[in-house]
Amino acid sequence: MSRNLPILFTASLVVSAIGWHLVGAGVLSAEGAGLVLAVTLGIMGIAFVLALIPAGIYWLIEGSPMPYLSVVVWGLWGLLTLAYLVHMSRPSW
Amino acid sequence: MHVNYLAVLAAALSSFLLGGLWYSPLLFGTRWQHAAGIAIKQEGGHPARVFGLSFVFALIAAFAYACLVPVPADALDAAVQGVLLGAGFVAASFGINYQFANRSTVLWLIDGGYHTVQFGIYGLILGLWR
Repeated sequence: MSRNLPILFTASLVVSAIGWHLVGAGVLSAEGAGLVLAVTLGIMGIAFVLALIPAGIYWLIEGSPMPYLSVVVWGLWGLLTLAYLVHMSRPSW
Repeated sequence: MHVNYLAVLAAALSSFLLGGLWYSPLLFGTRWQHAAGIAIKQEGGHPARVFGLSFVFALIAAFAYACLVPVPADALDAAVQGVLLGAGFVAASFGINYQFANRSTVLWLIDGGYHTVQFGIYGLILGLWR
Protein backbone atom coordinates (compact mmCIF):
# COMPACT_ATOMS: atom_id res chain seq x y z
CA MET A 1 0.00 0.00 0.00
CA SER A 2 2.80 2.43 0.87
CA ARG A 3 4.16 2.12 -2.68
CA ASN A 4 0.79 3.39 -3.94
CA LEU A 5 0.86 6.53 -1.79
CA PRO A 6 2.92 8.79 -4.12
CA ILE A 7 0.82 7.67 -7.12
CA LEU A 8 -2.40 8.22 -5.16
CA PHE A 9 -1.24 11.68 -4.07
CA THR A 10 -0.19 12.68 -7.61
CA ALA A 11 -3.43 11.38 -9.12
CA SER A 12 -5.46 13.24 -6.46
CA LEU A 13 -3.49 16.42 -7.14
CA VAL A 14 -4.19 16.18 -10.87
CA VAL A 15 -7.91 15.46 -10.31
CA SER A 16 -8.17 18.34 -7.86
CA ALA A 17 -6.47 20.76 -10.29
CA ILE A 18 -8.80 19.62 -13.09
CA GLY A 19 -11.79 20.15 -10.79
CA TRP A 20 -10.82 23.72 -9.95
CA HIS A 21 -9.90 24.40 -13.58
CA LEU A 22 -13.45 23.34 -14.53
CA VAL A 23 -14.87 26.21 -12.49
CA GLY A 24 -12.35 28.67 -13.92
CA ALA A 25 -10.31 29.14 -10.75
CA GLY A 26 -6.63 30.15 -11.00
CA VAL A 27 -5.07 26.96 -9.74
CA LEU A 28 -1.55 28.38 -9.87
CA SER A 29 -2.30 31.29 -7.54
CA ALA A 30 -1.46 31.01 -3.84
CA GLU A 31 -5.14 30.68 -2.93
CA GLY A 32 -5.80 28.25 -5.80
CA ALA A 33 -2.87 26.04 -4.80
CA GLY A 34 -4.20 25.91 -1.25
CA LEU A 35 -7.64 24.84 -2.48
CA VAL A 36 -6.13 22.20 -4.76
CA LEU A 37 -4.04 20.82 -1.89
CA ALA A 38 -7.07 20.79 0.44
CA VAL A 39 -9.16 18.80 -2.05
CA THR A 40 -6.21 16.47 -2.77
CA LEU A 41 -5.84 15.63 0.91
CA GLY A 42 -9.62 15.42 1.28
CA ILE A 43 -10.04 12.83 -1.48
CA MET A 44 -7.16 10.76 -0.15
CA GLY A 45 -8.25 11.20 3.45
CA ILE A 46 -11.80 9.94 2.89
CA ALA A 47 -10.58 6.92 0.90
CA PHE A 48 -8.17 6.04 3.72
CA VAL A 49 -10.61 6.69 6.59
CA LEU A 50 -13.24 4.42 5.03
CA ALA A 51 -10.77 1.72 3.93
CA LEU A 52 -8.87 1.59 7.21
CA ILE A 53 -11.98 0.60 9.20
CA PRO A 54 -12.43 -2.81 7.50
CA ALA A 55 -8.64 -3.20 7.33
CA GLY A 56 -8.39 -2.64 11.09
CA ILE A 57 -11.25 -5.05 11.84
CA TYR A 58 -9.75 -7.66 9.51
CA TRP A 59 -6.38 -7.32 11.23
CA LEU A 60 -8.01 -7.65 14.68
CA ILE A 61 -9.95 -10.77 13.66
CA GLU A 62 -7.53 -12.54 11.35
CA GLY A 63 -4.24 -11.17 12.64
CA SER A 64 -3.07 -10.48 9.09
CA PRO A 65 -3.32 -7.57 6.65
CA MET A 66 -6.60 -7.34 4.74
CA PRO A 67 -6.28 -8.65 1.19
CA TYR A 68 -7.12 -6.27 -1.64
CA LEU A 69 -6.59 -3.20 0.60
CA SER A 70 -5.04 -1.30 -2.31
CA VAL A 71 -7.97 -2.25 -4.54
CA VAL A 72 -10.46 -1.02 -1.92
CA VAL A 73 -8.59 2.30 -1.48
CA TRP A 74 -8.35 2.83 -5.24
CA GLY A 75 -12.01 1.84 -5.70
CA LEU A 76 -13.12 4.38 -3.09
CA TRP A 77 -10.77 6.94 -4.58
CA GLY A 78 -12.30 6.36 -8.03
CA LEU A 79 -15.85 6.83 -6.73
CA LEU A 80 -14.86 9.99 -4.86
CA THR A 81 -13.06 11.36 -7.89
CA LEU A 82 -16.09 10.74 -10.07
CA ALA A 83 -18.41 12.41 -7.54
CA TYR A 84 -16.03 15.37 -7.19
CA LEU A 85 -15.67 15.95 -10.94
CA VAL A 86 -19.43 15.67 -11.50
CA HIS A 87 -19.95 18.09 -8.61
CA MET A 88 -17.42 20.60 -9.98
CA SER A 89 -18.69 20.45 -13.56
CA ARG A 90 -22.21 21.48 -12.50
CA PRO A 91 -23.07 24.84 -14.08
CA SER A 92 -24.63 26.04 -10.83
CA TRP A 93 -21.33 25.75 -8.87
CA MET B 1 -36.48 20.91 6.23
CA HIS B 2 -34.95 20.11 2.85
CA VAL B 3 -34.37 16.45 2.04
CA ASN B 4 -32.84 15.27 -1.23
CA TYR B 5 -34.83 12.08 -1.76
CA LEU B 6 -32.56 10.89 -4.57
CA ALA B 7 -29.57 11.19 -2.24
CA VAL B 8 -31.48 9.22 0.41
CA LEU B 9 -32.23 6.51 -2.17
CA ALA B 10 -28.59 6.45 -3.32
CA ALA B 11 -27.43 6.18 0.30
CA ALA B 12 -29.77 3.23 0.91
CA LEU B 13 -28.56 1.52 -2.27
CA SER B 14 -24.93 2.10 -1.25
CA SER B 15 -25.51 0.04 1.89
CA PHE B 16 -26.37 -2.92 -0.35
CA LEU B 17 -23.20 -2.48 -2.39
CA LEU B 18 -21.15 -2.25 0.78
CA GLY B 19 -22.97 -5.21 2.32
CA GLY B 20 -22.34 -7.31 -0.78
CA LEU B 21 -18.61 -6.76 -0.37
CA TRP B 22 -18.49 -6.76 3.44
CA TYR B 23 -20.37 -10.04 3.91
CA SER B 24 -18.76 -11.77 0.93
CA PRO B 25 -16.09 -14.45 1.47
CA LEU B 26 -13.53 -11.88 0.26
CA LEU B 27 -13.91 -9.93 3.51
CA PHE B 28 -15.93 -11.16 6.49
CA GLY B 29 -18.61 -13.48 5.02
CA THR B 30 -17.09 -16.76 6.16
CA ARG B 31 -16.13 -15.41 9.59
CA TRP B 32 -19.57 -13.84 10.03
CA GLN B 33 -21.39 -17.09 9.24
CA HIS B 34 -19.18 -18.93 11.71
CA ALA B 35 -19.55 -16.29 14.44
CA ALA B 36 -23.31 -15.95 13.96
CA GLY B 37 -23.81 -19.72 13.72
CA ILE B 38 -25.64 -19.31 10.45
CA ALA B 39 -25.34 -21.64 7.50
CA ILE B 40 -26.63 -20.08 4.30
CA LYS B 41 -27.70 -22.57 1.67
CA GLN B 42 -25.64 -22.07 -1.44
CA GLU B 43 -28.42 -22.91 -3.87
CA GLY B 44 -31.14 -20.72 -2.42
CA GLY B 45 -29.27 -17.86 -0.76
CA HIS B 46 -31.25 -15.27 1.19
CA PRO B 47 -34.96 -15.10 0.48
CA ALA B 48 -36.22 -11.99 -1.28
CA ARG B 49 -38.10 -10.96 1.87
CA VAL B 50 -34.83 -10.49 3.77
CA PHE B 51 -33.36 -8.27 1.07
CA GLY B 52 -36.60 -6.33 0.69
CA LEU B 53 -36.96 -5.62 4.40
CA SER B 54 -33.26 -4.81 4.69
CA PHE B 55 -33.65 -2.23 1.96
CA VAL B 56 -36.63 -0.68 3.77
CA PHE B 57 -34.56 -0.43 6.97
CA ALA B 58 -31.62 1.07 5.04
CA LEU B 59 -34.02 3.60 3.54
CA ILE B 60 -35.40 4.50 6.99
CA ALA B 61 -31.86 4.95 8.38
CA ALA B 62 -30.78 7.15 5.45
CA PHE B 63 -33.99 9.21 5.64
CA ALA B 64 -33.65 9.69 9.39
CA TYR B 65 -30.03 10.74 8.93
CA ALA B 66 -31.00 13.27 6.24
CA CYS B 67 -33.89 14.66 8.32
CA LEU B 68 -32.37 14.78 11.78
CA VAL B 69 -28.65 15.43 11.37
CA PRO B 70 -27.20 18.58 9.81
CA VAL B 71 -24.56 17.12 7.50
CA PRO B 72 -21.44 19.29 6.85
CA ALA B 73 -20.89 20.39 3.26
CA ASP B 74 -17.19 19.45 3.44
CA ALA B 75 -16.87 15.86 2.24
CA LEU B 76 -14.22 14.76 4.74
CA ASP B 77 -16.15 16.30 7.66
CA ALA B 78 -19.36 14.62 6.44
CA ALA B 79 -17.66 11.22 6.14
CA VAL B 80 -16.05 11.51 9.57
CA GLN B 81 -19.39 12.62 11.07
CA GLY B 82 -21.05 9.54 9.56
CA VAL B 83 -18.31 7.24 10.85
CA LEU B 84 -18.65 8.70 14.36
CA LEU B 85 -22.46 8.37 14.24
CA GLY B 86 -22.20 4.77 13.04
CA ALA B 87 -19.62 3.84 15.66
CA GLY B 88 -21.07 5.92 18.48
CA PHE B 89 -24.76 5.14 18.06
CA VAL B 90 -25.22 1.96 16.02
CA ALA B 91 -22.12 -0.10 16.87
CA ALA B 92 -22.26 0.96 20.53
CA SER B 93 -25.96 0.00 20.72
CA PHE B 94 -25.17 -3.34 19.10
CA GLY B 95 -22.52 -3.77 21.80
CA ILE B 96 -25.18 -3.64 24.52
CA ASN B 97 -27.43 -6.19 22.78
CA TYR B 98 -24.54 -8.48 21.92
CA GLN B 99 -23.35 -8.51 25.54
CA PHE B 100 -26.72 -9.67 26.83
CA ALA B 101 -27.19 -12.10 23.94
CA ASN B 102 -23.73 -13.52 24.70
CA ARG B 103 -22.62 -12.99 21.10
CA SER B 104 -18.96 -12.91 20.21
CA THR B 105 -16.74 -9.87 19.91
CA VAL B 106 -15.86 -10.96 16.37
CA LEU B 107 -19.53 -10.77 15.38
CA TRP B 108 -19.84 -7.33 17.00
CA LEU B 109 -16.73 -6.09 15.17
CA ILE B 110 -18.07 -7.31 11.83
CA ASP B 111 -21.63 -6.01 12.25
CA GLY B 112 -20.66 -2.80 14.05
CA GLY B 113 -17.89 -2.14 11.54
CA TYR B 114 -20.31 -2.56 8.66
CA HIS B 115 -22.69 0.06 10.07
CA THR B 116 -19.79 2.37 10.92
CA VAL B 117 -18.62 2.38 7.29
CA GLN B 118 -22.21 2.44 6.05
CA PHE B 119 -22.95 5.63 8.00
CA GLY B 120 -19.66 7.12 6.77
CA ILE B 121 -20.88 6.58 3.21
CA TYR B 122 -24.33 7.94 4.12
CA GLY B 123 -22.66 11.11 5.44
CA LEU B 124 -20.55 11.41 2.32
CA ILE B 125 -23.51 11.03 -0.06
CA LEU B 126 -25.87 13.27 1.92
CA GLY B 127 -23.13 15.88 2.41
CA LEU B 128 -22.08 16.06 -1.22
CA TRP B 129 -25.47 15.61 -2.88
CA ARG B 130 -27.77 18.31 -1.55
